[in-house]
Amino acid sequence: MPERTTSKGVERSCALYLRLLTLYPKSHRKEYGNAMLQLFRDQYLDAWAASRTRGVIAFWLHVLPDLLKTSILEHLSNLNRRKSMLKLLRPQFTPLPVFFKVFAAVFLLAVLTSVVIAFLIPESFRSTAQIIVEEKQPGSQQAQSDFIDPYFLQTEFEVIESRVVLSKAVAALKLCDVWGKKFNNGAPLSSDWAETILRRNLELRPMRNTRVIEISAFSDSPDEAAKLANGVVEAYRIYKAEEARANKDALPMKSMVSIIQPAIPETHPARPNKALIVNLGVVAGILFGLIAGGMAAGFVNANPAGATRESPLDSQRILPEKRRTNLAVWIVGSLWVSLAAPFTVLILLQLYVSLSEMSDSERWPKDAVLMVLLGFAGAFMSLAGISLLREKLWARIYVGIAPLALSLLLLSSNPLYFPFLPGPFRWGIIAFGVLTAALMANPFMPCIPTTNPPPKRGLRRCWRN
Amino acid sequence: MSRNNPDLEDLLPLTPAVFHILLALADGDRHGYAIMQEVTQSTGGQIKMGPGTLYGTIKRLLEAKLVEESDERPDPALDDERRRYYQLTGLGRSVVKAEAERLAALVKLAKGKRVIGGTANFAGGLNA
Repeated sequence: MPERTTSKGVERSCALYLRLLTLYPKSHRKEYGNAMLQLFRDQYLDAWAASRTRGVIAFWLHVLPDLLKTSILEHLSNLNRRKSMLKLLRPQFTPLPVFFKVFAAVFLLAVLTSVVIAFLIPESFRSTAQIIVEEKQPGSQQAQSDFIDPYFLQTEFEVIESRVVLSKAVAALKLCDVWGKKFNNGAPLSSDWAETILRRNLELRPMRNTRVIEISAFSDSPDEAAKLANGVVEAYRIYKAEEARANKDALPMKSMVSIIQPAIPETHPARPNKALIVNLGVVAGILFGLIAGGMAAGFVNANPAGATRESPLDSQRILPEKRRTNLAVWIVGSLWVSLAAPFTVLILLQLYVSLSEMSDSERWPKDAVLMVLLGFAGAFMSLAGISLLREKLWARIYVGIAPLALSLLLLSSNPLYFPFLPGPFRWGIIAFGVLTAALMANPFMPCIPTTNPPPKRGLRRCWRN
Repeated sequence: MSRNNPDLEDLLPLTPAVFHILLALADGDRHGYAIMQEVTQSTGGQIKMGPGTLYGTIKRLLEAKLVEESDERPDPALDDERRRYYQLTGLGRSVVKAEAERLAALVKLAKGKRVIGGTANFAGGLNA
């Protein structure tokens, strides 16, 4: 009878303990569940043999806290094991926060610098006079012909900035004395010097599709700026009148050069353009932030934490290969980040020009050439880095796409060059270029292929050294 | 000498459960129930390990390569085939030796201070 009771008690207790084993993690249960159940059974029989029911109760009172405590410990241990798995992947994840930290630091530095510069640069006022110059003198033989001189305005610009005109303005405004007090401790300037300063503070531009010329002068004083602009206009009028008299054309002076609007003092400074400087700071911050962040992330990737704790065997066999791979990611990633920067600049420039009043399409060719040069410089940098790393097919295709996308982006950004490209299509190309650049700029992209096997002989030589 | 080994330094001091399991395996291969019996017997019943503690500890000892499963099996007629036998590794033997030396040094220190091993002068004094 007692044996039957024992048998029943064992079976019931084992069944209960088996159920309680579900408190352990599945992996632990699978590995040690049977052994634990067997040990439980042995200990139960010992307890029964020692003190019967009282021994079994004492045994359960010992087993239950043990089970509760160790099941919690096993779950915690599993969590730690997952963390240690993350440690193995840390080189893949660590660069991301490093990238953002460095990017944020560089970006903030650039923006703060631009803000400081914007408020430290002395203010300069601009005054603009508008004039119309008759190309053909009424009543002359030239006026009766249909000939139009395409270089007329450009020629007149050169005339206005010539010594003949500016010397008259300098004399009329007594700039040698005025600027002598200002720039030369009271001693009068030479006429050449004053003309040079005046020329440097002039800006001439035509108004689109008209014969109107804008003559702008800059100065730290609004009144002086207006005087300079009006003085140059007056000197130019005198020059044109003298020229007409010399040609013996009895034409009234005012009919040659008409003043549409004389220069008046402006209340707001034209320079520095604080918004432009801060915008450029933002662009520079993004540009250098991307480069610096990419390089920092690559550096962390190339020097993973714990590398110094490798055993001598590992350092000989594993690390050279590992470092080589990470270095490849670092170099190519950084270069592609630098390649993506012109895209960013271009997009921001496009936005700036579109949104600001300076949407003068004639400014675009210069910017476009600059961007193309930047893009190809980035592409050649990538090629140089990749050829160093003996990368082959895929990397070259990636690099080949970069200038292609860049050119498409540039060409599609200027409506004057490609008026047949509708807006949505142009923006589609821009999006494609940006997307391609973003993909290429990803320094963690795992598919930077190495079609060539590593140069074993060279590496072996390195190891020996 | 073992005290100068940085790997051993990292593992010491051992918990009582670990130390007793390693001690139990010091004189031969044992299965879980035999280890538990040996520990209970050697400590006079002061340390009683439940199945959770025993196999949790064994699991960590296996991961730390201080013990390993033994391939040698006793006569099947004398034992259950399902039992898993464990034995000390070289590292495990070094660790248990280092721990024993550490404890011995502590005991020597305590004896030097006359805390144990003679007429003790502290409250509730010991008379070994």
